[in-house]
Amino acid sequence: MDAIILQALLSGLAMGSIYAMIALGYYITWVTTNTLNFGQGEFLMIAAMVGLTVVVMWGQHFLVGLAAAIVVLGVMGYLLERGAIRPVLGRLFGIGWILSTVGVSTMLKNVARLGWGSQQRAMPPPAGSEVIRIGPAGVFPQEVLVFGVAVVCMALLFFFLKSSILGKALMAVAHNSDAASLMGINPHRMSILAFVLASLLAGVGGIFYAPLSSIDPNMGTLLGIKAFAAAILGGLTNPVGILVGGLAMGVLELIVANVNFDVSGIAFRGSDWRDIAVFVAIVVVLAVRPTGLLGKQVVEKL
Amino acid sequence: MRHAYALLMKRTRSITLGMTILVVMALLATSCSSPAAAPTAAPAKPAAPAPAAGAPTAAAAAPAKPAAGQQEIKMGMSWSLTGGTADYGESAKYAAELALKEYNASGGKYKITPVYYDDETKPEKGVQNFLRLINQDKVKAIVGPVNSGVGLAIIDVVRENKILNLVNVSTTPLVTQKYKDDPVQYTFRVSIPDDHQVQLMLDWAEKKGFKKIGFMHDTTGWGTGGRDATLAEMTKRNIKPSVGPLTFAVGDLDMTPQLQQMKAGNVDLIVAFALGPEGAQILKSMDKMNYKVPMISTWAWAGASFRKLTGNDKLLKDTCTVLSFTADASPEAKAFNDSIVKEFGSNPVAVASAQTYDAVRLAIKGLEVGGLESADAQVKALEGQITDFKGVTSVAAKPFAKGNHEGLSRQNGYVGCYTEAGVVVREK
Repeated sequence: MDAIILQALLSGLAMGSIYAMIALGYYITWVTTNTLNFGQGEFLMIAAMVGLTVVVMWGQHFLVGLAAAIVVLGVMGYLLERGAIRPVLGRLFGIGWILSTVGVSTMLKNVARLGWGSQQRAMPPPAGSEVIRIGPAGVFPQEVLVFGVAVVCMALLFFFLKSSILGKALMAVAHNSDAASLMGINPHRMSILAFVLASLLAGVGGIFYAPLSSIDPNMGTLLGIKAFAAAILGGLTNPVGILVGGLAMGVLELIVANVNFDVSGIAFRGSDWRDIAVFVAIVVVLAVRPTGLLGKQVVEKL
Repeated sequence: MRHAYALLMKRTRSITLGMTILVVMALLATSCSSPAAAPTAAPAKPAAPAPAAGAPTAAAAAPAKPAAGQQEIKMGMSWSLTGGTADYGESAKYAAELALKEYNASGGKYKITPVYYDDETKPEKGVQNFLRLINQDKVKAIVGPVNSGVGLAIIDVVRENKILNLVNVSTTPLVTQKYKDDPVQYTFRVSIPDDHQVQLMLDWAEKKGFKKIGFMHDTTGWGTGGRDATLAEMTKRNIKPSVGPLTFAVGDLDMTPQLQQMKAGNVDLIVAFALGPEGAQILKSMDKMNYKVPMISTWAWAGASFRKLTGNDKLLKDTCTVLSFTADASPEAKAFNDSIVKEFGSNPVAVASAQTYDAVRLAIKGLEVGGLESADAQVKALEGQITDFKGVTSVAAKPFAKGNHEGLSRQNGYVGCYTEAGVVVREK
């Protein structure tokens, strides 16, 4: 039994790290601009495709692929903010950005299909594929890497926002954008920074996730949705909460999948209920703590 | 302040407009570009761009003027060019293009223009495509689909609209079984159906002496159809799965929960209805758990992607698959595979291309012999009057008969197992 739980924990932390990376992207833009990129999953997919091109097709080193993904995604983040977020701010009852980012996600899927084809492809893991045995369970080096990267990214983001001037400016805009501009901070520049950061997170996430799974134009959609749910679970106002939310969701998925019991002859197989259980858990958490597990308790005065 | 704001908005608007125009132009350029003549053998280059859903493209063949007396007709091709079974669809498209190019150049009775639609591996899109092909494009026959979930969805459309349909890949048994008692059945298939593949798998399991069989399947229409076929066949043999049926979803990365169950149940063989990517994840999860047990699936694991996605040939040992076409099966097979690779640069799922090539040519024969007036005549032609067909698959010279619309059956299939070198070797 502990072998099963240990394996579920290890596998869940890896998957959860990816949710966390995507969700950190949602967090950074939500907190600064009250918008987020519903195409974040597709941004991750494009990063994986870039990695595929650079590492597999051009035979470059993984780090070159990482650098390429970072550059491409950074540019995409800038274009997204200028092209799909800024122009529709305040339009359509304040939710125009939902439509435009969903539109971007569909566009990217088609661009990926046209540019790279729809076959599922593989990227060899840079750390090799020898299983690391931890007691009776095992984990791939790439899974450990993904977890490490997510923690590092969260830590970097945390320190950036709390300690650096630029980060504090970003938080100032989040708090009160008019006051911030009176203090000399350009909210438009901060908005661009937020989206570039979010896209960089998707880029790094994509490049590290790609060797774990198969790469195809549709790989990002479900990830984006689950990461959004993870962000809600953790509370969209706290980067530690996001990390915890993502990891919790990853582990919860795997634990549920391992629950099997019989009720008077009717078999309950956890693996059938995996996806449902996660979303049910979110509903339950939100009912008890509406701002998420670690979100700030906000009292809205109507 | 407001004035500056307005100016900023104006500037932003024109930048946005400019970028939108650029992006739209780029999209149009990529989606409407005329399909490339066979790309040169750069292996990374994708095939002629798949049309955006709803934009039919002409065949890659240069549209020569029809010879005197040749009638111009259209043939519908609807299958997955994107989505989970897209690589089958890609191979199928190459084969269809090759078959039509050869036919149109040979000066036959018709000049056939293909109309390709992508069903995105979605059943509802498949139905839409078939209806559109029938009602708007007025095709004379339809080849497809590839995915079994879509196959289940279009059975009724074909039946109600009385259109000749050659199924090139979809293996779910109901496609030809659902209305097999109809006086006239318009669906024919050139693909070993799942119930036959299950028989091959279980025969092999019996021969090898496997007693405790664990069963898992994906949650698509194909997977659940496969579960039904497997359980039905097992019941006939008076056996049942020791563990399962367990499920997993397409796209799942970690199969350790299902494998823990298999391990706890002490199975000596796992039968899986899983596509290449999920099969690879099962093998990788086994590696994580340090658990190894023989596995077998349908020909989903015969494609190159299964091996590539597993990433480690050593893991493939004791993993078996049903096969029906390999490039080395006959000189015709090898010549065919070579010509696909030469013309299009790759052939991701060779068996899909071979079956499609034969399916398209059989559809053409049905139209030639049966005429264009009545689908019933076309059906009769395929059932009785085609007796000298030479296929690149092992389809018989007389592939069909009244009451048997399956061009390939268990006689045409066999089991092969991977070695540690990643090569599939036919089981004795």
